[in-house]
Amino acid sequence: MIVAERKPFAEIAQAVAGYRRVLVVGCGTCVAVCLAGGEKEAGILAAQLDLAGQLAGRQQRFATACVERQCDREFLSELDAAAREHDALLSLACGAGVQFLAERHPTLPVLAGLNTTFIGVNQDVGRWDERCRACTDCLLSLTGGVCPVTMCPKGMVNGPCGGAVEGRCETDPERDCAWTVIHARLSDSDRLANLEVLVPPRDHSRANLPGRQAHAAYLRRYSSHD
Amino acid sequence: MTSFAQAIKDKGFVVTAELDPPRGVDLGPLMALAGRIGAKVDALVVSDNQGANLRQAPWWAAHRLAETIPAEVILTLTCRDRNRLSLGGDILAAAASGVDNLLLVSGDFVSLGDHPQAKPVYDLDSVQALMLANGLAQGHDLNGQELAGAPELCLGAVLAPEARPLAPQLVKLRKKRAAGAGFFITRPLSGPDALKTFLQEAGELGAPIIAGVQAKNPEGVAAAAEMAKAIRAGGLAQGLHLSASGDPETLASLVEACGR
Amino acid sequence: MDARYEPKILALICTYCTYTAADMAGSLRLQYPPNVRVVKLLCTGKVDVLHLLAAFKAGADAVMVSGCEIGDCHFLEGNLRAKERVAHAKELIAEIGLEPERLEMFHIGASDAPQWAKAVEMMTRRAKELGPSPLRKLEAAALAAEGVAA
Repeated sequence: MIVAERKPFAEIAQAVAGYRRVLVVGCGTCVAVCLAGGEKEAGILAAQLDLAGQLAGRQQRFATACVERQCDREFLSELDAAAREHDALLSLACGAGVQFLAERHPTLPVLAGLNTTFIGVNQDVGRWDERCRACTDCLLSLTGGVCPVTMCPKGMVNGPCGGAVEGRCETDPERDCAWTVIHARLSDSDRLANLEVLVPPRDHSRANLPGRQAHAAYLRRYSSHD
Repeated sequence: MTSFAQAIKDKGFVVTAELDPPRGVDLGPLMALAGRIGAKVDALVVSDNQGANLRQAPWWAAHRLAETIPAEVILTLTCRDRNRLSLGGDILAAAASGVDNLLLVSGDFVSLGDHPQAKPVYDLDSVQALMLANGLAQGHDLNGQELAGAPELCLGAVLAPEARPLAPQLVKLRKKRAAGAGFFITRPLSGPDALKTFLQEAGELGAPIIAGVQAKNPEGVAAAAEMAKAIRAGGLAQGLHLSASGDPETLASLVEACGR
Repeated sequence: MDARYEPKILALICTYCTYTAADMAGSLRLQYPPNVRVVKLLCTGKVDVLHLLAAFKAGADAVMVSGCEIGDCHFLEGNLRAKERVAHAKELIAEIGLEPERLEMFHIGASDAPQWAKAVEMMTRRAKELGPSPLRKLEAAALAAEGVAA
């Protein structure tokens, strides 16, 4: 899922300072799971902004709403009426959700309450770890299910750099060297031959441009947006 | 064959020394140091933003050295600071300016240097950088498109004999060799035994190893020279790569003690 | 500070431990400041960050949450959850510029009436030292402006 974290409060407070009626819009999918932008967090942030506005002597009102996903039109449409009653929308979605909301309300200021951090996994209650860089050319079959593009800071795809110390990364002694893990995983599953494959330079041509993909069958049958 | 490749082949044992370009515009001190040690080494290796710290780009010093010093010059290029266009372009420019020996490295990560906020590049890894350079030497770019005039290049790579676990390092090493590395320069060694152990575990590399010997200060020169002697006497490497953490006097003494 | 200032303190306390202690304090005729307004909950595990923020919005000068002693929660870990939520809410009010000391978590067992009295004394003293909540002053000013007696 997409992982995000709330922006520093002062930054958010400053962004909304000029608006009287602000709708704090939560997003009920990824950012709700990572406790950054769901219904609960929208409520807490609105309460905080309300108190802060009062302390600063501003006449401001903060309301909250939460939709299932801000990256889907069918859910965003639920907000249309409420949005018209406000001077600004403060979105607690990932960057994609904020943009889609802004696209739907081009005349309203749509502000971002979160910093989107990565695509990751729920490692423990309250802890998330990055696992994917969305590089458009997955190597995981070859690398034992451990992504060198994500887990190696240098994204080395042909083996480790020379900086690893006792199987730890040169950037952080707490971090495993991705290639040590890859080697161990392939060794355990009897696939060490995978390592001899000389991986050619990555084709970035697709990832360099804003991504776009289509499912031809669905597009033919259902599409209303050309 | 470049003359450094020839030197490795003919001499059986070479000595190289590492020079860091200045953190400013004055190349004078580097040229003066090179003048003092140039005759006692086979090649001078010019580092590239060593340790991810900002310095003058190495091609200028490499070019000036190639013009004025009798020793060979090896230009270091990191994958950290260049994409494939920039790497290829720099390699061609270096060859055009008379520098045809390259040390192609991944490069220390930006978080270790003086600009930890920088965006690291790593468009290619060091194996792929060798593929790129090797292709250029054969007259084509990474996409197989022909060049107007191919450079003659001697390609080197870095070797970390003391990295553990060693098995993943050996994978990378085989790939570097396959991608065209003609010599390996090791990271600074802790002692001759480390190299001996590595050789036992790694077996035949098929390319000469130049053993990294570092003195961090003038007091460390004697011990470093001792290590160098043991490596040479033990036939553990086909050369020495001398470095001194950027201290010119230490490097001069180390070259004095170990140079030819 | 206004000598007539008497802080308003909201106490969210659990029925099994702290409320029983407070009840006993009454039976024992223990004296403690009258500044505290008690809300009895089944468990402090019910306390939500939003409740704590709402209390300050409503003009509380200080808020105390008091549950069972650690390890003694009737619902096993409700008081532990409350402890974390209070810690989180302290960060949230600090972010908006309110003193985090205005909010505190306590753990007071059912038989510990003197401890309850001491906790209320401590929070009252602290609230007096901090002075009226700036939110309360604003609230009062707003009400005055509207012609309502504060």
